[in-house]
Amino acid sequence: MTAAAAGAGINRYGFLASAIAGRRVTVQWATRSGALAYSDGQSIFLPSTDLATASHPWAAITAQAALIGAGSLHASMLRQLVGRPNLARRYLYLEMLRATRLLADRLPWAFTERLELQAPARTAAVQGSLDLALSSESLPEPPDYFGRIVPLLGMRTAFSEQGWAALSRQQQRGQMKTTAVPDLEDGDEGESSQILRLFQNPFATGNPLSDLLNSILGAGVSKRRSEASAGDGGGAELPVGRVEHALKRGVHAVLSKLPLDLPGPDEVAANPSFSYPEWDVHANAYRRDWVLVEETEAWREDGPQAVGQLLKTAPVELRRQLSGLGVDQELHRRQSDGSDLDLGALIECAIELRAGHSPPALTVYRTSRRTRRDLAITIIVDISGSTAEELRGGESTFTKQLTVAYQLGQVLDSLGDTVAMFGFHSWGRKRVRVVRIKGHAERWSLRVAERMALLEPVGYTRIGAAIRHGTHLLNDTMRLPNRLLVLITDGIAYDQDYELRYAAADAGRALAEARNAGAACVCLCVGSASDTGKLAEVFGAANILAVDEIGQVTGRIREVCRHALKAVSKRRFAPPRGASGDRG
Amino acid sequence: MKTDYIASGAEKLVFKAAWDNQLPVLLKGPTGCGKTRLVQTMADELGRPLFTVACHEDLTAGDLVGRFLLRGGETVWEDGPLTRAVRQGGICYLDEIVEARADTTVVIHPLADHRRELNIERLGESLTAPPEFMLVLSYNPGYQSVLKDLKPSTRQRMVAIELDYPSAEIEERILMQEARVERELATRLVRLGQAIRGLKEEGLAEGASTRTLISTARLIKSGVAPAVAAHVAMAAPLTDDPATAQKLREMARVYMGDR
Repeated sequence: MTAAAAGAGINRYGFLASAIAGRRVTVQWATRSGALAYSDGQSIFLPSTDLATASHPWAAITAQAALIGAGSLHASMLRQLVGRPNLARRYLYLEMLRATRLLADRLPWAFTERLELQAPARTAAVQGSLDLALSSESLPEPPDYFGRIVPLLGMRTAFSEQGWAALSRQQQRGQMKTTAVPDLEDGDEGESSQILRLFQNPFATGNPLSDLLNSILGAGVSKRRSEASAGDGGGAELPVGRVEHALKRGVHAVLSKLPLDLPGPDEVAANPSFSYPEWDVHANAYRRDWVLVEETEAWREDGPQAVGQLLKTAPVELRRQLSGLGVDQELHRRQSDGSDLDLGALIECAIELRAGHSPPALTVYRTSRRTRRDLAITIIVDISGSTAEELRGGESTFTKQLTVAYQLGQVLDSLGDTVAMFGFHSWGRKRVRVVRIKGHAERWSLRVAERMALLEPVGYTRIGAAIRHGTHLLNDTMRLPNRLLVLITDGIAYDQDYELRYAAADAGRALAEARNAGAACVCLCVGSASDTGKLAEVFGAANILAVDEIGQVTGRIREVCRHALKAVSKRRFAPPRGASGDRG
Repeated sequence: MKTDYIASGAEKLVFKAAWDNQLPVLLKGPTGCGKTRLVQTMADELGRPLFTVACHEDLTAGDLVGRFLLRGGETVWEDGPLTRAVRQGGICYLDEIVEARADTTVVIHPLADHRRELNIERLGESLTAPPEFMLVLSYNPGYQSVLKDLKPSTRQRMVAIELDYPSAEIEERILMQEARVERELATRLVRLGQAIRGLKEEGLAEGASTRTLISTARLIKSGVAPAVAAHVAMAAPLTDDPATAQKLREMARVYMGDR
């Protein structure tokens, strides 16, 4: 039984939480003290200290997820609970009863059957619960598995969801590094209001960031203005430097805990690695098992980047262009079944029969059929450090490449093709990292964008290894008759002991191997036309598409892909070369 | 076996009215929500023979209308299911119609509008459908890729009945009737089903259908432990990804387990 291994990640309850909450919710171990579960609206945090909860965490998870699903953790409500733990507990009790009724159809039976939840719902909406909680009516104490409400946490999530878009580009880019902050414990009235004060900056009226924080955190704008105009507000007396410092601290507090799905130790250990040969042009021979490629999950230290702007839905025109790839109406003769009789075959068959032979099979029909669209595509994105350079117009090659990869992947996937997508970079031959963006068996989902947000342009480019790994995926894992490898890069290979003639020769070899194995290869260069001459030599001028703007891809991508696929289909039956990767 | 379709809305009434008025019907809805069952039940109630064709990419007009076959040294004509339905005044049900090639669906056009004719080119024959004949198409809007959609000209000839997974209460009744399980087990299964259907952003194949709920209930009746049955029949078919399967397994345990 795999229970022990599975027990490693508490996020195995992620679907339970998401299904009840009605949105993507993760489950994590709590970082703050206390024996009760709590949530910030995006994640549910479980106390690892409480053994009873730790061994059977599902009830606590269900309870917190139900609060999210019922809208109990809305910022406008939480704002009124800050620093009032008793009120928060009464509100929690009432909301849990309401949520249980509201979501009854999707809650576990074993949860709704619990004794404490048999009481009828007292209120019909969040406001009602808050009003009743504020009243003097006596209410039962909520049981432990209800968990608790940490108002400031939920409000922080409201900021990260609504606030990010409201910040300007510069502000988003600003050096908002994560730093440790004083713990935002809700039990302490004094400290909470102190934290709230951190966000108020009387010197920056009209600053969208502080206005935003103020409006979200509910420190009324009018109050701040009156303080500022009266000139006797606590903050107004502070030296500018200190106030700004305090504001920054507040911002860091908000940003430092944005949810981040880190790979657990078990996942890291399970990273598969592959070894591939490399072509040594000087020795005119392969170097066996020369390169070590490791498949990893996307991760960057400073957390997910804001890529929402980049990952726009592809234009309809791109869809139209790509929809025709690899589809053709063809007349098939001598079929065992079909809409018409194939006269030639029928006459032959009749002759055979009259002559006393019996034909082996009655293949006398003809039919016209669209040749099936069984296209497997691997999109490989160069995420080496060089792509991070900004181009004219402020965008980097990296972001342009991600945009193109996202659009291509999305369109091809929606057209029914099998799409795998990964990024690659390297630090010498023993450390080639292939970062999964989309697995071939995975359906298109938010995960793709989430992983893209965690890509980091660092390292170098060992192009041959990436091509060989892509070929390996296409041939050994995806196994469809039509295979297309799309390499998105900013230039020819460069890595430790991997330059110029050696690199070009190896890349050329890798491409030849891919084509011999039946995979068509296409190279896309977006934004940087610097090194494309060399790439064109390696790929063949017709198989490379170099453009400055993403929009230009649309009109030309189809021709390039079709050309590459056609070239391969002619040699489909050539025997494959035994140079694809071995599993390490 | 008598087939009792439990209606969620007015679908049976609409179906009957469409049949009375010789209008073709388009059934829309996700996999396993009861499209086929509705047609079977209605054919039963209306006392008409049912001709079902599961459409696929290679389905040709010949497969529907008929073709010449070889028999000994002779060629003989054999009617396809559509032609047989027209001749016998039955109900012809084309399941997953968008899977069929566009040129195939053209033959149904003259049958679907006021002409109600079937032209058999190869025989030089034209059949007029009797009043009892009915054409029913089904299609699953979420399932196909964008390329494969019904042409507007086909759609507009139809009376569309939209089905979805039934409400919790009705789904419970369906489970109790189809798998003969107790109310509590039915409730547990339905809640798990509803919960899985809520996981829209996780890259799962389609949500757990009513059909899979019934299969699960039957497995449990045959002695499979509830959590195991829910996993193998409802959750596991939705994904091949181990991490996703693990999370679904955990859901099955919580919803079906005894704790």
